[in-house]
This record gives sequence, structure tokens and C-alpha cells, in this order.
Amino acid sequence: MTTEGPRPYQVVLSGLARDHLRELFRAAARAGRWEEVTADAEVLMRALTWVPETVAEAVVDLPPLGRVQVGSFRSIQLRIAVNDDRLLVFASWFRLLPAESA
Amino acid sequence: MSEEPIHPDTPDGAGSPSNEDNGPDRNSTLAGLWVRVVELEREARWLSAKCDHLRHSCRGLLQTVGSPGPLTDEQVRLITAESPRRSQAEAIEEAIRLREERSAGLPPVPSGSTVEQLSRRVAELQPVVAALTTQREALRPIFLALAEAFEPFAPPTQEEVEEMLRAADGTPGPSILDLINEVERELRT
Repeated sequence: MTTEGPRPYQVVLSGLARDHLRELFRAAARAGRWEEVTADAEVLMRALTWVPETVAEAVVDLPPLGRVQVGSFRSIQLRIAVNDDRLLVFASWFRLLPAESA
Repeated sequence: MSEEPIHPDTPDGAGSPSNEDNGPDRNSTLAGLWVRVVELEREARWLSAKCDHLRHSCRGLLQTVGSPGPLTDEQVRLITAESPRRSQAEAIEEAIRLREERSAGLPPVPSGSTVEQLSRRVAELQPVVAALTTQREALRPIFLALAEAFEPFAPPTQEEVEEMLRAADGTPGPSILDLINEVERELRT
């Protein structure tokens, strides 16, 4: 049995994705949802690093990025592209879901 | 569906099958069956976690877009009739555990295993995996339809694609955690 652990994916955020996230966190703070949404973002980051296919569904292949996927985790809706060969997750889009949805 | 392994993993070196009349063929059959059992158990656990995650996502989006949204009554029933067994965070942790287990390889064949036992376990697991695969295939288009109703899909622009490829090859920009800290500082000032 080998003892090496799994290799993580590197999560790459586009400039637009970073803008979406800043706005998402500001909106969460305004809505009194800072703790909830930042905790969700931290778990989401862990999921994207280790098991991106668990939180998203493939929509279309977009070489050379990879499989473009739509996903969600509790308060956050997202779009990513997963490249298994290079172990990369490209995140391009985030939205905050209403409180009653999370 | 049972998600518990039928046999506890045995320590390395303790996994020789105890068969009086076993020859190389029987050991090879046992090893092959054991691979199948482990793969099927892992697949069932992953599909179960994935279905729970999808069901939560579908329920949340259905509330957001308003029932029935783009779904048929049957699809609404599929996501509301049965409660997910785990939270989404628990589903993610299960998937991470499975990735670690897969990376560690195959546990040794449990001591005392017989071809009959392992064959029976394979026969038990195959319909479980088939049922979970069917469930996942039913949930997937529901989730995508709800996501589309929430906000229509648009692929990344060529400019974004090029930017992300450059970032992957160069210095990574701020992470999600960096952005949380950045906005937190901004809100304090």
C-alpha cells in the first residue's frame, strides 16, 4: 500500500471571480450573514482544493481550461472549470444565494 | 444501503486468505473479487455523498426560484420527498475521506475471506451502485435546470480564459481566504 496522500488542486480565481467574491462578502456583511457566508466560503475552498467534482456538475468542455461546471455549496452558487491533468480549478463566477436557500 | 465495510481492514501482511485448498488460481480470484468489493463500496459511498449534496443544492435553489420553477411535479417530488442523510459539509468530508482512501490504494484482502463471501458482497453492492447512479442521473438535470433558472449560464469570455491560464502559470493571486481577510479589514475601517 502506498503512503502518499492525494495531490490537491490549485484554485485559480479570475479577476471577475475575485470581484464577485468581494461583492458577495460585502453583501453578506450588509445582510448580517458574514459568519455564515465566510464559513461556507472556507468549506467551499476546501472542497475545491480536494474534491471539486463533489460540489459541481459538468456543463461543457472548454479546452484548454477543462470541464466547465456549475455548482453550489449552501449560500454560494459558483461556476468553475476543472482541469484534472494539471490539477487546476479555475473559478470564474460566484453568487450569493438568499438566506432561506442555504 | 450499508456504508460500513463488510470486513475490517487488516494490517499490512495479515491479509492472506485462509484457504486450505487454495492454489494460485483461487488466490487470484480472491484478489480480483476483493478489488471489486472495495471499488464498489467506494463508488457507493461517493455516489451517496454526491446525491446528498445535489439534493441539498436542488432544495435551496428551488426555494430561491420558487416552486415548481422549471421542474415537473415529478422532479419536485424527487427532491423534496426524501431528506438528504448528510449535510453538504458532511458530504464534502466523506468525498475527501474517499479521495484519501483511494490514494492510499487497496487494503489487503481480509484474513479468512472466501470466494463465496466476496462474490455475495459484490452481488449486494452492484444494485446499490446502480440505484445510486440512477438517482444521481435524475438529480443532475434538475440541479442544472434550477441553476439556469437562477441565472442563465454563460461560459467564461476569451479574455477571462486567457487571464486564468496566465494566473495558473504565474504567481497565484489572492485566494478566497485572502479575500475574506481583505473585505473584513475594509469593513473595520
